[in-house]
Amino acid sequence: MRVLAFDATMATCSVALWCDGSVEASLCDPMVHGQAEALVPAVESVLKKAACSYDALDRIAVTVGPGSFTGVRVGLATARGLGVATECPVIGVLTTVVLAEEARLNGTDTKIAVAIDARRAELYVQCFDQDGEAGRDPLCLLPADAAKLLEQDAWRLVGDSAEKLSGLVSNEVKISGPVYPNATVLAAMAAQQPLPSAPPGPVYIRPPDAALPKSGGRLRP
Amino acid sequence: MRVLGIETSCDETAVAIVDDGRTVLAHALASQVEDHRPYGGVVPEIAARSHLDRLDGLVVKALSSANLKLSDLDGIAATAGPGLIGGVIVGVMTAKALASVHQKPFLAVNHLEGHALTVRLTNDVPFPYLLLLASGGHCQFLLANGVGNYTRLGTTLDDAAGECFDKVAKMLGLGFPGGPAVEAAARGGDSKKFPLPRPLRGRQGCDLSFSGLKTAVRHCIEALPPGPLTKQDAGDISAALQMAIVESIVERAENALVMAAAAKPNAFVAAGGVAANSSLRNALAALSEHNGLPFVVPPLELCTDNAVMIAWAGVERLQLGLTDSLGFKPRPRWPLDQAVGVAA
Repeated sequence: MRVLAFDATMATCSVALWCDGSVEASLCDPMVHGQAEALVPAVESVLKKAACSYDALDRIAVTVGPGSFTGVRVGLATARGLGVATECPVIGVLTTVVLAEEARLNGTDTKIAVAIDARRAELYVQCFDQDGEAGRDPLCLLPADAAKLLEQDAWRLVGDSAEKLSGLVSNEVKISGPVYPNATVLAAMAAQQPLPSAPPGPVYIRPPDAALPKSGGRLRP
Repeated sequence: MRVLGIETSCDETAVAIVDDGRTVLAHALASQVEDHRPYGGVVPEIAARSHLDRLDGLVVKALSSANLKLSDLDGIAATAGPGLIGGVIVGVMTAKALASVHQKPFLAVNHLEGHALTVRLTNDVPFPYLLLLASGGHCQFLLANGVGNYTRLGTTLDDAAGECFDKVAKMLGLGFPGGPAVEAAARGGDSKKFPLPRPLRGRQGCDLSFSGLKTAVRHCIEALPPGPLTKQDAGDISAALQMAIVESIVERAENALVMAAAAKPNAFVAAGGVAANSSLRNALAALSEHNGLPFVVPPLELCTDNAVMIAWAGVERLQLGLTDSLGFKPRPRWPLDQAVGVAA
């Protein structure tokens, strides 16, 4: 099975072409902004490097968040557009799950906690057991509240806010990559997933920043 | 030549397919008005989320209703700015993906150029023409010299006319979108009961201004006796506002016509959502007739945001070889008089 996978949810643009356990080509460029410009040329570049065409794809995989709202939409709009154009199924995987899976593959003797910068002084956090099984859905928390989740047991912290969170945790924690999702890991995970009945949707966690105006904005009730 | 166009720059998610014979082969549109109504205006993050949820389904729907496949198309166009950037990115990324798979030219269309060229689809208006582009985000007079070639004669110094309609509708509790709500309320109103200013009247040039009008309306409402606003007051204020906006635009348009005269325009064109206002259309038609110029406005459904105009702008740009790279950066701000394409 050949999978084209990409991530644009954090501070990289990562693309991989994976086939039956082997990486045929991959690319990962660091960037805080600019994924909207970089992603489709990066996909074309990876396909060209592997001398592969869109026709040869079996699946498309994308991270669905949590992460930058813009990055989530850059990835998902591209993946869903590619899905319509290639008629390949599109598989969505949580950013936190991809990070935890890479940590598990690298070998860990503790539980895994993923911490991602959610801006506004908050973190997206999700905890996994040693085998990479998630305890509950990812949350958006203040760092102090996130630290409370890690009060017991030893943890391996991953994600771009692992260091920030480690400073608030008193028990044993180890920080060792990954910092950002790896498209190769995403591709391998997507190959194992059952086919979805619908294209994947975004996982923002945080609701839109919009307040209802008092009295609907009327000057008189 | 057939081009698929995508529009996601504000609160309409739309996909259309248009050919160079000026036939609209498909137009699939999902309005977000109900999503934004409780807020009395468009909430950018809600809009961006909604575009992502709906756009790929509308692409499939448009292709199906035209009985076409992506491989039957000659180009993929999308609004690439100006607009609410979250939504623009969704449209641009979807278009790039479609173009990449089928190796079709990608056309990054300036949303304002979509409005500007609509009358060439509907009425085959030849260049040059004088253009009033009036919507919720823009209000300007331009000379349309050619595709990608515009000279701005004047623009609003503050708010757009459509924004003024929306904000006043919100103050009066008339609902969203504000333009049609104010127009409907104005029908039963006395436009003279609340005197409102005519911004920039008598000034040289054809710049416009609407923020003072908005403030004047606020003062009118605040000066009313305590208690709920009566339907009659809301109607009278709506009528006064509509007349002030129309008279202001018409007075500025007189100057624009003088400024454009040397270019010998073939028509006076009004486009954008505000051009759907019937009082404004009638007043501009009379002014244009007085100046011996045909007055052209697109049909109502093509005045407001739509994908037909984006697909058509794509056709016009593709005919000239004005295609764009898949590395194109979506632009939240993109003045039309810089909308000069780069032949790829």
